[in-house]
Amino acid sequence: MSAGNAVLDVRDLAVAYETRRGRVTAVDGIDIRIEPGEAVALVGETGSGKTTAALASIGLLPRGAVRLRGSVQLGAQDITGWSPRRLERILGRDVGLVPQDPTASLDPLKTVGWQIGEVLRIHGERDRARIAREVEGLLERVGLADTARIARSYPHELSGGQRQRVLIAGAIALRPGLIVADESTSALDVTVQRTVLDLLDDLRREDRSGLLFVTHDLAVAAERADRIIVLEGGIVQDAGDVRAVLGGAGGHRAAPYTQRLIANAPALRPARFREAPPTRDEPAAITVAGLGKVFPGHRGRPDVRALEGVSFAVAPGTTHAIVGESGSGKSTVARIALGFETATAGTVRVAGTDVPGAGGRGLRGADLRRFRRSVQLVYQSPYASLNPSLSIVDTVAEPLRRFGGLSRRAARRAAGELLERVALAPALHDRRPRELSGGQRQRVAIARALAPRPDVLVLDEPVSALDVTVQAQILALLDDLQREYGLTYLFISHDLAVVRQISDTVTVLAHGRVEETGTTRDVFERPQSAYTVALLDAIPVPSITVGDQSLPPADPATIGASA
Amino acid sequence: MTALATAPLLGDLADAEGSAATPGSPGSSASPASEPAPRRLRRVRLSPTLLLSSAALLVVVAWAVAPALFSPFSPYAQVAGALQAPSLAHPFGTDSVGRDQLARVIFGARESLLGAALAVSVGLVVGVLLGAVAASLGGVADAVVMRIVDVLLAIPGLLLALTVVVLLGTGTANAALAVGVGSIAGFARLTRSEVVQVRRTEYVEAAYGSGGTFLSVLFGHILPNSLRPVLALLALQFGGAILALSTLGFLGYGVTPPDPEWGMIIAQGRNLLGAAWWVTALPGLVLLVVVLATNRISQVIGSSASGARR
Repeated sequence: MSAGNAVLDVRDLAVAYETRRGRVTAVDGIDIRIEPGEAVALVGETGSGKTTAALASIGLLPRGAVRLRGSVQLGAQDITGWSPRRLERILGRDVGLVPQDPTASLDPLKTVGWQIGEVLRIHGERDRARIAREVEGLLERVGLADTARIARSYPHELSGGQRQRVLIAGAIALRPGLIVADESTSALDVTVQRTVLDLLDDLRREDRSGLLFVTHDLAVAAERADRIIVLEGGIVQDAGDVRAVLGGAGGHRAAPYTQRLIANAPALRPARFREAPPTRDEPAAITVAGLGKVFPGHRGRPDVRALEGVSFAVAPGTTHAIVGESGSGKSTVARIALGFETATAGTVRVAGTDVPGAGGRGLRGADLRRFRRSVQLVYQSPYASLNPSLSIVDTVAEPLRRFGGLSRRAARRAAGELLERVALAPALHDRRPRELSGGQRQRVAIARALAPRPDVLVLDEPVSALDVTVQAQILALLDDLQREYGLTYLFISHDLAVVRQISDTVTVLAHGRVEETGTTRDVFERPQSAYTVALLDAIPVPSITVGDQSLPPADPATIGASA
Repeated sequence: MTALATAPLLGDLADAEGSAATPGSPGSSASPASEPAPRRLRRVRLSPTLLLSSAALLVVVAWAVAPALFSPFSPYAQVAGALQAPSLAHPFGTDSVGRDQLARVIFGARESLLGAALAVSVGLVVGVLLGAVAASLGGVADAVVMRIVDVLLAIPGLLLALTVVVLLGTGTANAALAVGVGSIAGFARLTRSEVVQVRRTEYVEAAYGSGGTFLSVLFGHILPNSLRPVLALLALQFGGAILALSTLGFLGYGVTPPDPEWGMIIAQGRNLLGAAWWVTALPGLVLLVVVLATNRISQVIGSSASGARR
């Protein structure tokens, strides 16, 4: 076990941030050891210190951060306490960093070829022709076709997946012994995420380099990593072989926090479909037939066909999920169902009201009010959908006053009751949104949507901005509310694992067309279209089985009770 | 009692919702993007210049409210010989007819501040309404309103004010109105740009979904979230209005003599600048300090507004 073998050996590293209130410890004693060809995942939720830990372990400290103790050995070199200037020599050569956001990390004014070549130039390569050849070779290596054209492209001309590959090409340009990937695939569609992860795996095997990847997604870690480190509040909760930590192999008993994470990660659970709420013998709550939407092209550009011939029906009191990747048109369906966009073809009937489509006049007056009251929306981002200058009780009181005609006082009282129903204690009611966490804000948004007692709730990616434990609580709450009020949900999501857990029926959309529609069980177990199969394959499948061991049951009811 | 009962519940919740909610947890500083700092306005640093500016404005406001408390002399009475240099009895000296200059400046504060307040009120109300309507309606209404605003902006403010005064006749209220008309365009333009940003946000759409009408959403959601930068402009324009009113007074379009008004006081001394500098310079200094103070305060409001948005 000589330290010289490992590509990275971090011992007892602790990092703190200097703040107005004094030092706040962000990482409190972490050990990371990566052997050549090994992948180590650093897992944690928002604010767990995982990114700080990863950056500090290659010598990089974010602004305002200080190293409290610990040592960092990179390959044969001890880089503990190196100045940023001194680190420049090893960054890129010995360590490649793949940042989180491919859009923010590329210079929009330079071709991507120039940007990859920069790594070579910084480390001493001068021959232009050789740089150009090298860059094309790298682009080919990360699986991009037509490399000459891509090298000449600017970042905005590439897709998200292509940009992420470009960043990886830059990171591996000098064949570093260690690659650090900071949430490198979190912003990508599942199918793209899968190919990028495959690429990182291949590169690691070929070059025998080590991979340290930071992720919030336990399923990705379980599928890809050899070893895993679970961080919470800067403290290592669990560390070791993936099979041991997540699967309980070798008699390992996971820490309570890890157990909670596992219980809350839908993709890690054995596929289990939800028990449908009792269906009622009533006409469908939502009927969509032959829906089409064309956005006229601007300045001579061709029209964009966002939707074409989309049809489905949702029984009252059930959940229908619309699944698709970015650009599939799933949000457009939601916005048409809410009357925020008008369709260019087809008919939509929601909660007994015909939503005006092609050629029809918009709803007005009392009809519009009745429609707005019967269909409510919960947005993806609880940060953007709440008025920052209103207290949350006033936010929830607004629809009660507008639709229910309640006085200000009565509306505030009723709003308080609703907020308590979504588990927000009275002490929080007078706070502004910025004084709440993401999960709490989403509860406010749900309470506001419930206030007019709607029949249909449209949920546009309601949990994708939230950490897994919070996500599980919100999903459990939605499930409770559906049973209590007999609500019909139209659930828009890109996350198939979540959809599997919450929906009764599913429509799979791709490029504005329905690929497949049916009950969740049928679509997941017997997918008919090739696209659905590809989508399902992209769900990270951990090589280990969880759920066999003595984990707390991942039952929505028990999770809901703790929230 | 209530606080005691809910405290444990609160703790549970923060715990269940993850560490992001706990203030002072390591995470809150590790990911500043996801956790906006609360109450940014309160963190305005009380710099010496800000303190001085506020103090100066407070003094001038106090002069305007109760001038007699600050000056033993009447601004109209001849109390000493003409054109006496500043002394302990008369710190600002006396003017050409032997009136106490400090008394005239103190009593003139009311005229200047009231006029400026009226002027910015006109600019604020009309400008914000125009800007908000243009931005909310969009299309033709937007184009028409903003072209009118462009025309207003193209005419130099003083020229516009002079035109209005000539049309309406001289006098305090008319001068104030004239200055106010000159500041409409600035308010309209700023309000429009803010409203255009805010009305595309999700919470505005959600407010319509909550049954809001055009007006209730405009006044309940859009304007409250657009007005912080407008307040900064308000403070700036207040200083500008005092200056513009003084200019009109200087040119003889303001109050009727012998009522004291800063611009006119300064104007009356300009022929005597060589012999009695204090008649012009000391009231001018007061004017300068007040305008600088409003600028500084405007700057602070402006920076805290942009800080709150980041």
